[in-house]
Amino acid sequence: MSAPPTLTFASASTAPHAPIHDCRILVVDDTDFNRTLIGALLNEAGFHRLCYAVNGVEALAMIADDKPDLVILDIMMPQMDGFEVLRRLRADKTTADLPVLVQTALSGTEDRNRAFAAGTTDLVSKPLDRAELLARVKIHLENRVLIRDLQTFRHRVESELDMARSMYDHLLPGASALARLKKASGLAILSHTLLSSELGGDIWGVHALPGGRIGVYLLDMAGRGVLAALNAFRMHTLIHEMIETAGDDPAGFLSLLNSRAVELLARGDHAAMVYGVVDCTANTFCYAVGAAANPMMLKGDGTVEQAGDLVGLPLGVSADATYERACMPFVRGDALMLYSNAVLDALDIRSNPPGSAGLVALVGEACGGADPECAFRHVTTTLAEKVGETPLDDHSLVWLFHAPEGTDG
Amino acid sequence: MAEPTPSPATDPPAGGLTLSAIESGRILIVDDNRVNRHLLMALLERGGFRNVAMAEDGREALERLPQFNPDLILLDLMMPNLDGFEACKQLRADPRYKDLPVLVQSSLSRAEDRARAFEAGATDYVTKPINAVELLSRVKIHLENRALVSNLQLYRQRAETELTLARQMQERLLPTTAQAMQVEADLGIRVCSHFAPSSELGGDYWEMRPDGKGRLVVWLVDFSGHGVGAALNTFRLHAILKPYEVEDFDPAQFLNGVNQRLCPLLPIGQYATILAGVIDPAAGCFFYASAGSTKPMLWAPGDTTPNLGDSSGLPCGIMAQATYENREMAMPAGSRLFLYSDAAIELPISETAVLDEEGLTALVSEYMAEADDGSFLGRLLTSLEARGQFDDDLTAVLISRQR
Repeated sequence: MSAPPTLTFASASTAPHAPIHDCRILVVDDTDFNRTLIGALLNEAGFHRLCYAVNGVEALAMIADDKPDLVILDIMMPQMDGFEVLRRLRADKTTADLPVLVQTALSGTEDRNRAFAAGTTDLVSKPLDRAELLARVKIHLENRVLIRDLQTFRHRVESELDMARSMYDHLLPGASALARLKKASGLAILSHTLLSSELGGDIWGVHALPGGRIGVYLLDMAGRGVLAALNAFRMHTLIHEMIETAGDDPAGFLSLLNSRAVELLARGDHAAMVYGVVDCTANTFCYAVGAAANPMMLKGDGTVEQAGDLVGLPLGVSADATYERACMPFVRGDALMLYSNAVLDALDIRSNPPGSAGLVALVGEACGGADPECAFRHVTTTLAEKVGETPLDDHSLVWLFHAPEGTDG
Repeated sequence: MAEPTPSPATDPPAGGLTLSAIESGRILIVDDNRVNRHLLMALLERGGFRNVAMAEDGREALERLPQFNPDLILLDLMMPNLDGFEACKQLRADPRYKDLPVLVQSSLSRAEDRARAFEAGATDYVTKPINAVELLSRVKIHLENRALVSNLQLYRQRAETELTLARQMQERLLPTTAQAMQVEADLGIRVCSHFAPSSELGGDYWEMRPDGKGRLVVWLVDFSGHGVGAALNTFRLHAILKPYEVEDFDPAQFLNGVNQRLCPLLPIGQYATILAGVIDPAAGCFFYASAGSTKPMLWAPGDTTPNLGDSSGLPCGIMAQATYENREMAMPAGSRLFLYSDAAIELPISETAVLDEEGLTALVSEYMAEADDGSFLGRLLTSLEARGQFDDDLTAVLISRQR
């Protein structure tokens, strides 16, 4: 009987740890004896990458050539003294955070103060004390290594997330797609997405359907960040694959998506989604929702209408979920408004005053209600004020404007 | 949709300072002399520090730590009850205070005392009488440093939590041990694998599915790039392939379909190399098609080197018109098939060289006498890791016909 087959997953890589003994230390002193002594003490303590400069000019040249991890700097030197070296290092942003230990006499209050004013990291007493020198070198190098490892990790993750973010941005309709849509259908779209971190789970899109109709969706994945984005990419793929053939019937399309989502998503993962079809010939908008906010229609006269109060289960929860359809007129001069739930919560217009009345009040404040683009700007500005620069949740809104008579082209 | 999951955006800063808030840093003064305590307090207040507390000896200092949660301690050495040396040692023994800056301020100025203080875990040492400029400079340096470190640590902690969960999600796309055991029991085909993204997430993805007619369908996918971005693409392809019917699997047709569906999804410059195939024990064959994948290596009992299959073909996601061709290799009972992502042949083994196909073939030849599949894979991977450090995602799959 053989052992079961092995399917192994390697553990995730960790940042390499550079022990402090591999750090480079530059000793700057014009006295041979001091350089030798400091070098010997450091060497004996296990530091093997040491280099030496006999004056400030040489030290700066060596640092510019190959930055050490720590500098031990004498004050009184010919040509350029330690204070000047320090000032120049701090003025250069590549060396502003380089740890520098200045050697001064314990009693030299004025020197000590000048050294701190010039930006020293620490002082070591002169005459040299072995234990203190080594303790201070160790503390600053450990700190240096710690910060370097943490920074390396952060830069690596940030660059991965930047790359992923550009892929996320690529999912959303670009300017040229929207221009084509406007040309073909007369529909103009404004959108606003505010993510709680580098990546998020809110996506939206439009798709031309047979017969000149337009399918539009807004999807809000449970959770935030990378996890929500991984699932949002899955859902986007499903939508992309099926919208062409199944996109004409909003309720049917959500059912189909739901049945695929149930197979893909882990327990606890789910998506709120609104999907609708705009028919610019019949002047209608029909939609279905799965736990998403019902769209609202800002009419040309400044009133706000809502076709229904559909509910529906989130997608991915139950294979048996069914969805209903609601329709409303969408005529020239109207603006159709889709939101993620978080937007309603942030603006506090879900409950106070409820729904459309809250939105009317909000829009009415700024624009008198008649100018939909002004209303959009006002809503997004208000949203930014309410949630700040780092919102707790992803927020999206997508507005479709059916151009008033005589404004096409 | 907001959920109570850990997120970089919502957690309160865990005892960390922002760089702009150095002056709000919490400082605990520990000194048994009342005049000294108030002198230090006044000095710190003059320096702009507002959150300052005091303790009269080491014991009181330790008692106050959990509640006051200081960002820095100014510690006297000679004190009744518990002196500074001992207080420092005890505090360092607690992981919560391992990195807390402890600035010793003492009238002891002998080198031995300084050495003892550093040995006890002091971060810094100043002698009394206190030089105001120096003390404030040192306090500021330590607080700035602590703020920088705790910001970075917070970032790492949050990112690691998030990426670890994402990594688990990605592992769930892959075959499980239970599936492998089922395949072995049903088909007499044993599958061992190793999956190692070069960072938390990666662009490799593979699957195996029995076709219900005694054959095993397998595909191994390697998306360009690595990290989170490449992983997003693996989730896309997995969503596409989830409902794929593998009955009467035709590898070339499979790749044609995948290519046509990936093309509109992938941004320009991103693509996937894929090897898709079916192991047919009845026919004694491995039928496959390749979209620019690595060459499958296959060997029968008694062979001394593996046969390398042709794997030419355009990667998927580049050109929608690309087509793929079916190929076959003989795979009699007892044969083994080795599939791998290109990290295995692009392993950097020096400044200028990579292992390459020839190098990998030699290694496989060296270990192919190893009868146990898990050991073969283990020895091969150990040997690869000894030669260089992978800078790309590695997937290795060994499929052997037991009967």
